[in-house]
Amino acid sequence: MNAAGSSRTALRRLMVEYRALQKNPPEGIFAEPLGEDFFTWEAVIAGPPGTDYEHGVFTAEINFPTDYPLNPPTMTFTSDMWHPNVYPDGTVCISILHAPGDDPNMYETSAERWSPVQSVEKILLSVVSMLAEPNDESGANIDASKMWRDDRARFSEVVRGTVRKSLNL
Amino acid sequence: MPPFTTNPAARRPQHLLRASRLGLFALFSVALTSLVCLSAWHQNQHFYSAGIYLSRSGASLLALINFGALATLGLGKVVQRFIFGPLRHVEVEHLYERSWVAVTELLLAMTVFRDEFDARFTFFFLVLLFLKAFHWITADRVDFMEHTPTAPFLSHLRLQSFMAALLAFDLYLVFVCMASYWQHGPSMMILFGFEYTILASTMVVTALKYILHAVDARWYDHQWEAKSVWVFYLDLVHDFFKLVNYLTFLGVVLTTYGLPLHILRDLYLTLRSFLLKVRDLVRYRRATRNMDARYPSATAEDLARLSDRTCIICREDMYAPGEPRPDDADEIVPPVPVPAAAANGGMGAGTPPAPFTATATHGTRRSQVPKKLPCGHVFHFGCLRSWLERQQSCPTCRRSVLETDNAAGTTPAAAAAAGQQPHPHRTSQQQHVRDPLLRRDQDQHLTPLAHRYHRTPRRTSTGT
Repeated sequence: MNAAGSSRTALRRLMVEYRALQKNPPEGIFAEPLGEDFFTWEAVIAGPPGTDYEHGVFTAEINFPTDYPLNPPTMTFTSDMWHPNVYPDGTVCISILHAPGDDPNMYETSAERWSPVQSVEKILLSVVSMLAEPNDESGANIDASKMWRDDRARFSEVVRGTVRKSLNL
Repeated sequence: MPPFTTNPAARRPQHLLRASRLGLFALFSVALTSLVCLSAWHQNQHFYSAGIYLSRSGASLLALINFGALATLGLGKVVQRFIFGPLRHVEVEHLYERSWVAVTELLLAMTVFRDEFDARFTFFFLVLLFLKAFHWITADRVDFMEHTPTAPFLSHLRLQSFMAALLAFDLYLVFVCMASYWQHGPSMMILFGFEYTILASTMVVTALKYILHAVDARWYDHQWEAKSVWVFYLDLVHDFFKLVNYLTFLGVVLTTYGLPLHILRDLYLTLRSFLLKVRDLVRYRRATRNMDARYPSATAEDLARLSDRTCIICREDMYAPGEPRPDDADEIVPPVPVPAAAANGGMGAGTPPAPFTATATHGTRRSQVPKKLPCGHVFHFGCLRSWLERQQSCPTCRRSVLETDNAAGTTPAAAAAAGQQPHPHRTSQQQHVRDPLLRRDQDQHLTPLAHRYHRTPRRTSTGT
């Protein structure tokens, strides 16, 4: 069902999540609503240490549907991001952001999909682990997947370029 | 932590680029059109003959049509500015996506009506595209209403009158197309007639959704439980109407012209969406029928046994009916009177079946009652029901709530006893076949790292 049911539930839950994130901020990630509209958040992710993304500070926008948490938000990097599982336009493609029901890649089991158990924090942590371990077998960015597989040195170079750019160097 | 903000300068070049491209196009079109007109004027001394010349020459007609497109775009921008103000990012995105599809489909449609292709067709084409774009924006705005319950009165008034105007336009154009059909027989006007019928129905649905949102915002303090069900039925009826409309069009065009390629995609999508909705409806009705009887209310002891009494759907605490709650919870969840049916700890055999429509009247009370699924996971009644509208499985462990119909129906005690041991043996086995991830991590919320982004078929088949 694509019914838009309960935005106030969504709003309250987003507030609860925001409060929790403020209380115990997890290391390396940060998220807060963008201005008045609680349904659009800005997220900042520190590149995981020990990877090419290390020292990078990547910004992203998270857009919540009105029936959050029944349906997943979408996450789009607003800073440059070169990664096999991030579309060239910045949209993050991980299975927990896909509603059970629609399956763009046709093989994710429903256990890996969105459920209200997930949260902004868990999404961001999943994205951090995605940065650490790209999955090149079902790339969202085909060029990046190919480079990751065939020319790792070049891949690292491009990624480090985005890291420098993210730091305004 | 310092506030992070995205650098607006980083996004500006794209906008500038887009704006300057548009400006370039406008400049080019105006120059081209004036060039064509001037040359026509030079070659023919009289206004009338210049007009004839313009309409006869293909190249100049093309230039004029291009100018018409530009003028339409400009008019559209003005109307959009006035009615909607600046568009949101997602609206612009939708507009681009849908325009491409609409243009492609209309171009395909032209192949069916290729014999009648002329300036008039192009004119109708542009008008249709113009109106369609505004229907999309309006639908997006109405959906967005839920985010902004306190929009100023004037913006509501503008939106209302705009919807009425669009609907009037649609109906008038349907009428024009029908009149043309009766007078001149089948022509390309059939195409536009059906397109406008769909647009009009979409506008009616959008208006009804608007009314639902308005009622929700105005008269329901907490949350209008039944609204999502209404919206769902509305979409269902709309899909059905569209389906009938497409099939009729298919029939009419097949008998007079040939296969209308362009509607096949829409026909397929509508049919699929309709069938999926019907399937969802059946499942949803099954899962939520007699929710009170099917899922026992959690007792205070049940809740005390849980490590965490948070409802994972709304992330607020759950309290059994009658259980005292701490003061700080009051601001979020007002204390609720004990519903008679739930007071005795749940599902006596004598609990009367409660049709889900009845909840609309005292939804706020019942929606806060904690309910236990056969797997032992507990959620607020209202949260659980809105989840079951989408998925008929436990949000935490994904066990289907439908499979255990018989078990839950006949032996409520067994389900209640399962409170401590959330996964009874028999079913946990079924479950691990379906779902290897949960074997490791049965009752806990799955840890984030356990979630795969993109598992591949190979890995799935070999198991992790």
